[in-house]
Amino acid sequence: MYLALKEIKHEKLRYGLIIAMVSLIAYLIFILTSLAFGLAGENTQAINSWDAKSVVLNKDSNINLAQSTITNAQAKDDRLTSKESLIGSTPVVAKDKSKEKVSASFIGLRSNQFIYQDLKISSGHKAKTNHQVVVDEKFKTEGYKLGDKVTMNSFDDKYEIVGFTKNAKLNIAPVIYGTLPTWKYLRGMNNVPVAGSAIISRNASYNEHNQHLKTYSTNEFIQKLPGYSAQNTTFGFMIGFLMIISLVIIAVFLYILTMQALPTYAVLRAQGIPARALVSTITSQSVILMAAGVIIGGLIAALTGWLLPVGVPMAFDIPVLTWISIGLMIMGVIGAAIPAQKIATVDPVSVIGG
Amino acid sequence: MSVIELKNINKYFGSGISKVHVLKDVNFAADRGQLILVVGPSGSGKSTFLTIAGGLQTPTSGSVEVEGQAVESLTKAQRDKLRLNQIGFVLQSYNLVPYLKVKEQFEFVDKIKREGNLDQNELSGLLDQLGISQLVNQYPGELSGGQTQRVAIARALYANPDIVLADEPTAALDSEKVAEVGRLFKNLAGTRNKAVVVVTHDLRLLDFANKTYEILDGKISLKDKEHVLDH
Repeated sequence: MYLALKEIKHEKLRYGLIIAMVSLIAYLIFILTSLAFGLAGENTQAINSWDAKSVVLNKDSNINLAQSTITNAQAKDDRLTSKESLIGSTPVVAKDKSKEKVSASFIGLRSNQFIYQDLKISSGHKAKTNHQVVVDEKFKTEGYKLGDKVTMNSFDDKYEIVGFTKNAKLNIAPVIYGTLPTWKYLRGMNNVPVAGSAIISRNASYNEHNQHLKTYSTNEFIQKLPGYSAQNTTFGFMIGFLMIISLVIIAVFLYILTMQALPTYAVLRAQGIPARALVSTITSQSVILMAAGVIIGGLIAALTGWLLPVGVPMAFDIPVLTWISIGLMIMGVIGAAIPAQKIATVDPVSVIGG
Repeated sequence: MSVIELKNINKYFGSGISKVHVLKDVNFAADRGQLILVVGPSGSGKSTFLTIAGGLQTPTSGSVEVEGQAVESLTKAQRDKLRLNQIGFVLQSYNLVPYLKVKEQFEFVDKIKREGNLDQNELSGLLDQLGISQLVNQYPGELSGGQTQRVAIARALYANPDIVLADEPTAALDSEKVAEVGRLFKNLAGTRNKAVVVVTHDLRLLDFANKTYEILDGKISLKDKEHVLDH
């Protein structure tokens, strides 16, 4: 550690550049991870807020909420308890004359079921009529407020925003909570015997009773959300590659620096300095460089998160970011392995002149 | 008893038709208080002699004893310890850690070898004797060749070894500096009771030596200074 710190202190520019490089990679990893978590969260916020364990859909819907319909007869077959809620879901575009249009997911609820009853309102109150809605707070950032009346899709009917709720997003779109009759109207199925799109259950072992319906676990349902898996896989690959790049960078830099300093290490070995003391020097250097890079990268990422507009979906998951930081440190130790091996096997005889 | 003794040392490099007999039945002994020169032309086997004497290489046959202890019977770690505690190396290049100030070169020794090093008073005395007291806050890159050499000698002596092995310590020094180093080694051997073995081809050091050996074609022999390299 003594030599490691002294060398870094003496070669400020050289090691500063390495730390800068590691900081940028760590920063990119933190931002991408936070973005991945933020986007994943916006896909599933609403489902998570319902505390759902299973989802019942029409078996021909390809596990797609928007494509699923449950008829009145099918819904009747399934004896719903206090742990089940029937919902109707459809994508809508909400608009008010003077404000930006907002693409949203309309979720129709029954007032006697748990999703409606457990809905947490951050301001206002729950929808009590077919022309009242509760909307995600994202609407606030678009300029909407309590009492505003919005139209949906190409219908002329106006719906009053009577409440706001936090963390209500489904498939990245903000949710508009209304009633099931409104959902039927928006889907143009007023005269069709349709009850809803899905049954949401808090019972993990819920079994559908109708042969045209099928129960999926919440995780299975989330994985099938359009774009969700592809998005997470892409982020996962990017983060994984960045980890590998960080490993290569630290390994290459330390290798070059070690090769340059090999005669010094050979002299130290000739003087009887144990190999393990010199190996611990290069390992310590690697850990110090990675730790400095991770701390600086983390601070810049936190600053970025603070400066970015609220609309950017970033979620700083501290435990996950801590594990990633530990992962980067491990990459640093692995990166020091080749230079350490060079030091451990340096031949002190090589520096004795002939 | 000699502090270091080489008995019937033979060293071969290579094999088959490229096999080279570098050291041939070398016998050598050094006592405390002596400055001993080992001279010879390039390629004569001087460096191999030095590395075997310092426990950096093992001889093909024969034995090296330091304070009566057979070096070849030691493990790698024990040899490291032997070099750290009992042998001080002064090498012709890369002798100092470039990113440590002069005073930190000694601090580093303290980090590795916690006991038996010179104390602060002894170190101050040594630095005064070497004329480098004012250089303690300098980096090696800021020193002249002569100053670097003197710091390297101080570094080697700081761990208070019994034996100092020096490899071409006067390379690239002018005659005045060579005389300075010669006087210094002789003085160190005498006043600090060390065995100082200097491997060199620089005959300007002959006047300072208590004994001079010559290596020629792998064979070592004790010489009068008048007859060194007298062929």
